[in-house]
Amino acid sequence: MSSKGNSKGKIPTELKVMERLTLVEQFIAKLKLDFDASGFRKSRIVENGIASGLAAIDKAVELIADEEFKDADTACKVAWLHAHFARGLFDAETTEHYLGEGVFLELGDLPDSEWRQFAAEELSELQEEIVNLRAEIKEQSNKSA
Amino acid sequence: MLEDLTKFWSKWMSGKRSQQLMNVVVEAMTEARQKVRASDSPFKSLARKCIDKAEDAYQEAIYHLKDGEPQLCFQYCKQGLKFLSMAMLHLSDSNGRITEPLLDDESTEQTVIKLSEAITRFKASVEYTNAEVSSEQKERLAEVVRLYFDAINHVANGESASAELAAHAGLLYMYLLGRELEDKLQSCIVEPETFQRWRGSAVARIVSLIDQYAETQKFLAEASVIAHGRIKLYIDAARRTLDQCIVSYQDSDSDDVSRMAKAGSMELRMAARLIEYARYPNSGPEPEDESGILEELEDPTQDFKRRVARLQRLLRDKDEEVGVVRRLSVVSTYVSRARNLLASGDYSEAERYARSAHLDIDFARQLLTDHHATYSDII
Repeated sequence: MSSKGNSKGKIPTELKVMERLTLVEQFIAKLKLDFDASGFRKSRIVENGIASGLAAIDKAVELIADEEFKDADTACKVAWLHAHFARGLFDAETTEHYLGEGVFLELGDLPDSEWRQFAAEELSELQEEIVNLRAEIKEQSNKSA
Repeated sequence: MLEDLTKFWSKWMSGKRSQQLMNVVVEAMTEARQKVRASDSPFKSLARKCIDKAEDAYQEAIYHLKDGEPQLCFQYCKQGLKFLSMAMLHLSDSNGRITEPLLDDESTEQTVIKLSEAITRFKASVEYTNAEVSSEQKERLAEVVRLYFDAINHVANGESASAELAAHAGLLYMYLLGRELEDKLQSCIVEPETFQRWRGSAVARIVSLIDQYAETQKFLAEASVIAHGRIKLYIDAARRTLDQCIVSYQDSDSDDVSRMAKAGSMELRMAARLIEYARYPNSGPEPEDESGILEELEDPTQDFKRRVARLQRLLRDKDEEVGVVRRLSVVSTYVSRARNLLASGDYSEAERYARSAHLDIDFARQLLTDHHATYSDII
């Protein structure tokens, strides 16, 4: 698998990184404004996406101040990836809120209690299968004895 | 003596340069503040934040100049100017329009963006059409979201090859979901052209298998035949093979992808023949399986393995559950060995492996629910 095409090896100019940073920061600011103003349910993935995007922006600003432009550019791109996804999900949920019946497709952002319960149940079922397998082995063994 | 003089001269010059630069920063800050006051940009607050940062940097510069550290003073002045440049960029005339940052089309990040678009398009289409999504499909979607965040983490760590693998795997899953639901969604989730540049590669082989899978499902629906018995076995097996192909792709095991893709294709061809036979039972003899293949398709170990792997993927994201994931890593192998030994009549060894699996899964379960675990004496 080649690693062509990304920023590897290229050092972006200071201006280019700052331009990218301001664009992403504006994009997130607008998204946050829309998200905070929305009156329907708050998706955890969108909320986390905004928070992660802002954290990456802060990191990029620090790196620009330290003249680490390549790393700053990477942080900007990370912020953009978080923001892009969060915007897309937010827009989809807005569509459902205004045009649909408010039945949202979950993307796996299960609250802590739910995934834990799911995992515990699944482990119990798998354990039960092993118990059955052992019973089958015992039965076969008794038959052959 | 000469060295001392040189040092003194260098420091004096540096101090003079710093003072000159401080004057520049003060002028630029004044200008930026004026611009913010006059601006009606919606991003004024962002610009103001940058100016605040520039002010902080300027204060630091003053401290360092007072402490006789002109070089540090110079550095902070430069920082201040950078923050002011960013403030100006926020205030530049965009009429409040949001412009997306451009990424190179061929870049890793753009591939990850394609995955973001596929997921959000899928969600929007489902919301819009109220298409029914099965629990298995929802689970797959959750897996794709995990892959998306994995890809971002790889980008952040500079691991572009791994980021691409995760993004490709996610795109392949989304392509599969899109093809499965294409009649209901009324839109294309991932354009087949997305994969065009990987012609002849492992990705292309998986895309081709997904297409064959979707066509077989369509053929089944058109034939008004209910998938049960052998048809269901073959279709389910092909689905598992497809999953395995994508997992092998992520592991960069192209030989395995190739082998699995061939197997999946054979399973689907067999399913198609059986569907054809179910439609026209009098057209000839019922298609026969290759010897032993049905037992292989019915292998319960496969389902067990799949469920354990799914649990591991879920728990891998939770840092505190690393012990559970580690414990589970051997369970499938033990169960698989126990079944093989049972089949070959070696019951004592079969029991030994089954008991080991039992102990480990019990330990993992305790760890998850009670946060501590001991090996049970009664197992």
